[in-house]
Amino acid sequence: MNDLTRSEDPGRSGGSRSVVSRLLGFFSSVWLGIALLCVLFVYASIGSSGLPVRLNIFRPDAWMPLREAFELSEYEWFHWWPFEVLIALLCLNIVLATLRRIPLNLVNLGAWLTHAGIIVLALGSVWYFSTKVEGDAPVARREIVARLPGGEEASMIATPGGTMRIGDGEETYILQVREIVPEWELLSGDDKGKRTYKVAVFVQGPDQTFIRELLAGYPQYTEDLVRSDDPQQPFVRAKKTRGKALVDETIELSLDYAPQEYFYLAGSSALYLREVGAEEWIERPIDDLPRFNDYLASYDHVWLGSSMVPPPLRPIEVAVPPADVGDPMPDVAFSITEHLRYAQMRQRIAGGGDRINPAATVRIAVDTGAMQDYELLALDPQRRTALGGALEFHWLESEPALAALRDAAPPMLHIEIPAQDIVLEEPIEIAPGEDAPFTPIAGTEYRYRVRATPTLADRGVSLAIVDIERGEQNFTRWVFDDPAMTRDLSGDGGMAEHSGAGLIDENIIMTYEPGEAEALHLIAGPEDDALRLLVPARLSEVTERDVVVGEPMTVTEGATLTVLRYLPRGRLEARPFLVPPAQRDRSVGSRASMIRLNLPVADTGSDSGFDSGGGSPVESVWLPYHDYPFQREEETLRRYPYRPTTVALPDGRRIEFMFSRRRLKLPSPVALETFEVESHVGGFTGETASIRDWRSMLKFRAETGWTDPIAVHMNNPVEFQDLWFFQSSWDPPEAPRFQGDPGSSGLNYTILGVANRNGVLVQLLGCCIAVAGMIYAFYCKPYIRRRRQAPHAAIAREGGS
Amino acid sequence: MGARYAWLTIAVLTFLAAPVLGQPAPREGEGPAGARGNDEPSFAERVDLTAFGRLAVHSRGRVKSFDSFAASVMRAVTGSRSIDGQSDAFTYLDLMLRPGRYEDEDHIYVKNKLVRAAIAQTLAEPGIDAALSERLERFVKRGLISPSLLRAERVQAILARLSTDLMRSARYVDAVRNALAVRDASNLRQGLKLVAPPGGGAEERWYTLDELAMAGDTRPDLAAMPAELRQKLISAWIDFTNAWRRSDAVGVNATSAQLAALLPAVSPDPEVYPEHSRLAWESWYFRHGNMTWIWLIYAFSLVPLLLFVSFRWSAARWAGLLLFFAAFGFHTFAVMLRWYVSGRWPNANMFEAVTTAAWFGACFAVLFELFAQRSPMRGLFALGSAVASMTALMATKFYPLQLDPTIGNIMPVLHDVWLYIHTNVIIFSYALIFMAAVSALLYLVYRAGRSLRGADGTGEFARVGGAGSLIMTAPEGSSPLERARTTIGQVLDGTTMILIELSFILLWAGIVMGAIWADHSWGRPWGWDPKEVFALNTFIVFALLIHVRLQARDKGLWTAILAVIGCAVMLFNWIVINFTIAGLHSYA
Repeated sequence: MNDLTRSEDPGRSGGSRSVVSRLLGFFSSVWLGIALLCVLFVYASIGSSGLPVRLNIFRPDAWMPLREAFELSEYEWFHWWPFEVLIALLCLNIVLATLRRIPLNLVNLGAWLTHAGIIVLALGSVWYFSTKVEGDAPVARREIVARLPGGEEASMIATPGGTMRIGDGEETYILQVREIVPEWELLSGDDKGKRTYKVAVFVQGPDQTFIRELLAGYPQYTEDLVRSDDPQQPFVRAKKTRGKALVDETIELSLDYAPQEYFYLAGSSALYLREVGAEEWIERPIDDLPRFNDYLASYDHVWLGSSMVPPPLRPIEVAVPPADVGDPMPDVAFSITEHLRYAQMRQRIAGGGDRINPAATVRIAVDTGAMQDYELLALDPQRRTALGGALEFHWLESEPALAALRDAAPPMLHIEIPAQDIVLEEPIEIAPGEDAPFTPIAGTEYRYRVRATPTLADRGVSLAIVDIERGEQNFTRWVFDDPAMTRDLSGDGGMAEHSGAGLIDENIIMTYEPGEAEALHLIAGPEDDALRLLVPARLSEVTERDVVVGEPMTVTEGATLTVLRYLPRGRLEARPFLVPPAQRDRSVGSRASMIRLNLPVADTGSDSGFDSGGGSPVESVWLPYHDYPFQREEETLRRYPYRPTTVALPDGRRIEFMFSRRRLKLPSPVALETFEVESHVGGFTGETASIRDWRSMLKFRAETGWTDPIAVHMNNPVEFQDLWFFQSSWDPPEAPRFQGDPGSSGLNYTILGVANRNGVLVQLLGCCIAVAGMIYAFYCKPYIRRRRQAPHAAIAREGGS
Repeated sequence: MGARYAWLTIAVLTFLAAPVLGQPAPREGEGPAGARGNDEPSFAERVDLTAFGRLAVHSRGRVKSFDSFAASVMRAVTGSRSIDGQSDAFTYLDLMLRPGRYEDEDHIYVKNKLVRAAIAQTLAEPGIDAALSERLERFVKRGLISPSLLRAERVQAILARLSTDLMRSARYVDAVRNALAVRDASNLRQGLKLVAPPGGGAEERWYTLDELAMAGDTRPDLAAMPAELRQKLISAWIDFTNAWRRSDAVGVNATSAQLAALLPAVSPDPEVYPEHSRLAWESWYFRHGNMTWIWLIYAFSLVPLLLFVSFRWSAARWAGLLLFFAAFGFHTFAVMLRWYVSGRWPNANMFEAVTTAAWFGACFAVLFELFAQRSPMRGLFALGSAVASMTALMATKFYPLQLDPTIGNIMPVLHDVWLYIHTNVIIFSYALIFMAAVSALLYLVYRAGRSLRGADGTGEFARVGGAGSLIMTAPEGSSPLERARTTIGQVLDGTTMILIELSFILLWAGIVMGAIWADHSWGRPWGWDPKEVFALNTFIVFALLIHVRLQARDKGLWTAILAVIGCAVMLFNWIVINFTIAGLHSYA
């Protein structure tokens, strides 16, 4: 390749150089190419890794994401005009330099090919990226369709815990998905041993409640389960007890495909709106919405963490013009004035309510320096207690009620040994603990001690944890206030859990009454500003005192309680809490973002603006981000939110809004026949490491009906009408997330990547030409030159010898 | 003159190797099983876990030997430190069966120095006794702390605070909490899935011996097991645990031999229960530190190779090549053994990528040294590859948490023929880039020496028109480097060019193959992911190199500088991008 430097620079030949030839000379200069490559290197680096701002580049916070400051995603950074100009100049330079400096001959073929390959690749990329469409589509496995004789029909996606109702008045049915078994093995019939999708729906009908089991693909096996008296088996097959498969033939349930008609574009934003009651969302695309930074118009719109440096105020103005068709507000353009990248809606207590609703912020501090603040609401059973029930906040209607609290009973442990006719009522007075001494029960071998008396406030139960010894045997009993929940754990670690529920020793019976006097009681009322604290006698000598806001009070040795704020007429105010940057989970993406939508006040001649449902007029509302704009709650998939925001218009109409992504119609609807997990040796254990592959069996709606199932799995996409479908994400099994949640066995839906790929083959062709050129230049060219030189070398050698 | 340089080289290399040769044995303090003040062998020393270590355990979708399993579990607890020289297998069982002994024993590894300092500061309040303060000092230095100290309320409070900082400290706190959970005796018991599915079947689940003892009747597949075998297993297991709790080494050895004989009989199907030889080799491989000690042999080969390159002593060449080929032999054995044990080509995680890349480089060097013995560049490829392999294997030895040697399954998205080719081609090119940087650095040193003596080095470059001319069989004397007046500088530059040009093509081809794979795996051939961008950046540096070499007057100097920069960008991609700026490619 060294010969290229020797090849004549065409720009320098000729005495008088025109502007054109100078320009040509400049743009065909190799040095320009080198300079452009350097700039490209720098541009790509700072856009990708960011700028290092610390010496220790291994620290994640050493890298300042410059790209995000410009509100550009990776994709956008590399399609920004400076990048495009750079690439265009480079291509121009390559073309001119090749044409003008490298004579096309056998020796230089490698450089020509390499450069030509790069140009072809660039052209292919222009085609590819300018027409690129990329998104994803969630497809649920089945929907449950309910039909009543009158022709009424209702449906919901089959998802654990999903509910819907059908019918009205006295003829209402409430349906709830009780359990889904993704791979249920058929136990009888011709297809015995095959596996299918089983959904058990709990039906509360007008006359009776029962469970209806539905099997995908086998409507003939649908059957009902009814309640029985046997506690071991609370539901039995109706066929057994009543002689027929279905106990209620009025309601008809079936499992149908749940086809998806849209896919949702990656990195896009859209506002969805509709009148309340309308079925379909109307989409208003949002262009140029920021994605990476917080844009606040006022600190009064959000909650800020106490330790957080407030971000600068910089409102934005992103217009959201009406959609072309079907927009419920066709004359109104909205605008987005604020954007939060990472926030959570939180309720906080503010003053100025119009009715009694005592609220207090209480700080508990201990000597070691640890402290915790609690916000309490006396009238809200969920938010009345703190410290696991050890602190309670009351509103006192009258003085006598206080007396009742003062005289409240201590917690009691009832012990009964029927065989020996022993009944004991022991108040739990001593401070329980791990080291507390055992108390013998006279006349028996039993000894016991109370280890702890926690309150599980979130479940609304209290219990005493009691260690029991009887001779050699020792075990721990969890004595609940609800005797049905009481159970024993064996003493040593290892195999204890396997001893099963129930009692180790049934001869001794214990029940627990939590009592009232154990807790700290903060008491407001009966006057608005009266606030008192009752301390249990075992903690302190002073048991009752008036509270001064802001003044710490010692409640027991080493612990103080301070009422930081007291509002007799508190109210809850919801605002987004701006999560401090260090606490933001980077894998969440846009999922925690929010926008503030400004609703121009309609010109009604009065002071009425938009109305946030019930209360005062509003001009703007916060809208949280949604991955998918589900049409209804009943279509929502597990792990995805459905939180539309309703606003009342001055004309009485109510409009729902949702902030999500842009959608495009799929060429034809797609349904999910089955979803399978293929596992490594040892089966699927719940860990991702045990999974070998995920497989969606898809059906597309063609003109002639549904196609046969087509498998899409990792690295094996399917093309259908110019779009490619990829296996992208799945529905893993999940334990219950809150009380009443049935948990999920997973596999109820798939998420498909959807994309086009125009020009990929041109890109590939370019790459191959370039590779061929490189190989030629490095390995073939020297050979050709050697052969050409060989005769000269031989002559030289002979001459020398 | 020459001899002085030679001795200087030897002195420097000996100095570099000294800390390794003189490494103190890692017996610090007294562990729970340590022989305290007498010469009697401890329980740990008398227990023989050879056969037990070769039992199959199911974990994370793979059936592995107990030794290998224990190594990866204990790595999550103790990091790279061993407790009092105990084997991982022993520590696993001891933590499980005698947890009390470890409650106040410093054995949980805290990786991050800032987290260590925060914990030590909370515990070091005025008035603590000297022993504790000494312990805390040791903790700040070595990173090991006991569960009882970690569970102190104040430490929990500081950990809770540190875990809210997702950017800086949360993952280290997570690691500590994970270590606490992993070392919990009941979790260790639940993880010990030693019983193969009695009914056979590769997709059926494995059981622990506890489950066999207690849930046998409720599980139909366990009920399928012959009653006699089951009874024997259960009683051997109970005897084993009891003997262990009594520190009865004889009893442990007898019952572990029983278990080792019985367990493989539960499901003799080789599809389910791996062959004995595979398990034995896996145990051997993990007991020998995944053979990362090979780096030492590579290091020793450097001395003679460097002497040969500088002074052309043929004895040094033979000594160097002998050591290098020996190291390569072990390295090949390690790669092949890992392939045999894991059942797939070892290129699925960072450990494998690094060791296999170095092996590719070594293969290339061996081929070159064998087939181009008369080339003036001989010895240089072995030298470059020795440096590359030494660095790679040292990294795996000294950073086992980042380069985790645990054998795992390939992620589902990586099952693809293009991907296999793509990753291997890319890591091969990376190895060549590293080797090129070695010869480029030598060139820079050489040029620096020349310029100190006032010589002009502009002509110190190989007159190549494509690297092919350097390796082509040619009439005597016609190769650009075989003329009589060829200097070391020209030879070094030629070596760099051969490596750069090959890696240039491989890198490009590798990126393209990655794009082909990404096109049908993620729906786009190119996603501007940081890892992709920096692979492209590496390529841009080499494109610059080739064009600067055309234009610049001092070709050799610029080639060497850009080769080093290219290697730096490649390493930046592999290290900083992977561990700090995670992208889609974070697996390797």
